[in-house]
Amino acid sequence: MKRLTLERAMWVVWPGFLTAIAAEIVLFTIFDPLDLDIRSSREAVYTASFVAFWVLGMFSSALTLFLQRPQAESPPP
Amino acid sequence: MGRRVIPIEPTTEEVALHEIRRTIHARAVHGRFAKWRWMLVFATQIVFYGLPWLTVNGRQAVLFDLGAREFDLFGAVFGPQDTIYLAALLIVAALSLFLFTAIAGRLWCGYACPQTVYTEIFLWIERKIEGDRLARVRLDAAPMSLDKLVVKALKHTAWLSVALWTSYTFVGYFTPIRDLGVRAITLQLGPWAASWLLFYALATYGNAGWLREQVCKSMCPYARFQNVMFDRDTLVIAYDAARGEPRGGRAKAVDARANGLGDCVDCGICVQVCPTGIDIRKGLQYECIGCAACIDGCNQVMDSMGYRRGLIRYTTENALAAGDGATAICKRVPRPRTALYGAALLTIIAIAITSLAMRNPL
Repeated sequence: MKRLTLERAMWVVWPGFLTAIAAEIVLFTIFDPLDLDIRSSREAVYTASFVAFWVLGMFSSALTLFLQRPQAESPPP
Repeated sequence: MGRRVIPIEPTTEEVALHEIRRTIHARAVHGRFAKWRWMLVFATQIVFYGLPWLTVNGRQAVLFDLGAREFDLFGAVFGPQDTIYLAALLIVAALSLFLFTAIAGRLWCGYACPQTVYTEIFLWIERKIEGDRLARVRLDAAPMSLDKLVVKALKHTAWLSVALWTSYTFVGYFTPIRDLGVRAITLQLGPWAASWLLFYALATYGNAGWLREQVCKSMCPYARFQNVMFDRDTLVIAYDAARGEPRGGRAKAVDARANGLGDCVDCGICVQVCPTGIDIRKGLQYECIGCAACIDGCNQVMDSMGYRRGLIRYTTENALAAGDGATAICKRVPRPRTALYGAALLTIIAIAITSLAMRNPL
C-alpha cells in the first residue's frame, strides 16, 4: 500500500477547508441559528457546522484521491 | 498560437506523513526587489493589523460581526441578505487577479500573498535567532544539546507569539477586537472564540513556520492555472540564456566573449536564494513564485564581476526572444486578453456600485 504523503494529505484537508468556507457563507446567508429549533448560541452552531462541512469536504476529496489510484492489474486467466 | 504549457515535474520523492520534507535553507538576499518586498510587507501588515482597531462613530470600522449577523464597513451596515455584494467582491477580486496575472505574472505571489508575507516574517525571525544559512544548516545537522534546545525554543516561542497576535487580529475582524482582547486577558473567552483563536494561531504557525513553500507548491491552485492566464507578453522572471550561455567560472579580468563564455559564471547563487529551491536557468517552472530573489542575487554577482545587471530579470517571452526592453513590453500591455479581463472587471464593478448606491438600507 502506498504510504500517505504530506502532500496527498493536504490535497484532502485544504479543499475541504475551502468548501467549508463556501458552505458556511451560504449557511450564514440563509439561516439565523437562533430561528432554528437548536438551543445553542450562534457561534456554537456556526462552529459545529463549519467542522461538519469540513469533514464532509475532506471525505469527498479523499474519495476522489481513492478513485484516482491506478487500477490493479487483473490476474491473467 | 499554441497553448503554453508550464512544465510540472512529477514528484518522485515519497515522504512519509511523519517527516516533513528536507528544509530549504534559502540564502539571504539583498537588493532592489528584496527592498520592494519588505516595503510591501510593511504596507500590507500595517493595514491588516491596524484596520480592526479603527473606529467610525464609536464602532469598529471594519467588522464582520458573525454573532450579531451584520457587517460594518466604515459606517455602512450590511446584513445577510446583502451576501450578493460579497459574491460581487469575490468576482471582482478574481477578475482583478486574472488581469493582473496576465500583465505582470505572479507579482501577487512574490509580493502580496499572505503566505509569502508570513513566511518572510517567520524566516526573518529564524535568521535573527538561528543565524545565517550556514549556521542554520549546521544547527539542523547537529545533535540535540542544551544550546540547540534553547535556540530552537526561542525561535518557536517567537513564532508562536507572532502567530497568536495574527490569529487575534484575524478573529478581531469577526467579533469586536477590543472586547475580544479584554475577554482573553480576563480569561472569559467562550469555548468557540478560544478554539478559533487557537486554530488560526496553529494554522499560521504551521503554514509559515513549517510548510512554507510547500503551500505554494502543493496547496495553492493559483500556481496550477497560471498557464491559462499567461501568454508570451506576460511579465515573468527569466534567465537570459542567449546572454548567459555557455556558463562557466572565470576570473574577473578574463574577457568572457573571447574565451567563448557567456555572462553566467555558474555561481549557483540563483539556486541558493530561491525559496522554492528551483533553478531559474532551466526556464519558467510552476514552482517559481516570482519573488525575484534570484534577480537580486545575480545582480550582486554581476556587479562584483563588473558585468551589466539583468542576466536574470523581469521580462516577457516575446521581449526576451527579440531582445526588447521595458518600452516595448509596456506597449504590449493593451492587447485582446487584457482588454477582455479589463472590460469584464469594469462591468462588474459598475453593476455592483450602481446596485449599492440604489440599495435601501434596513
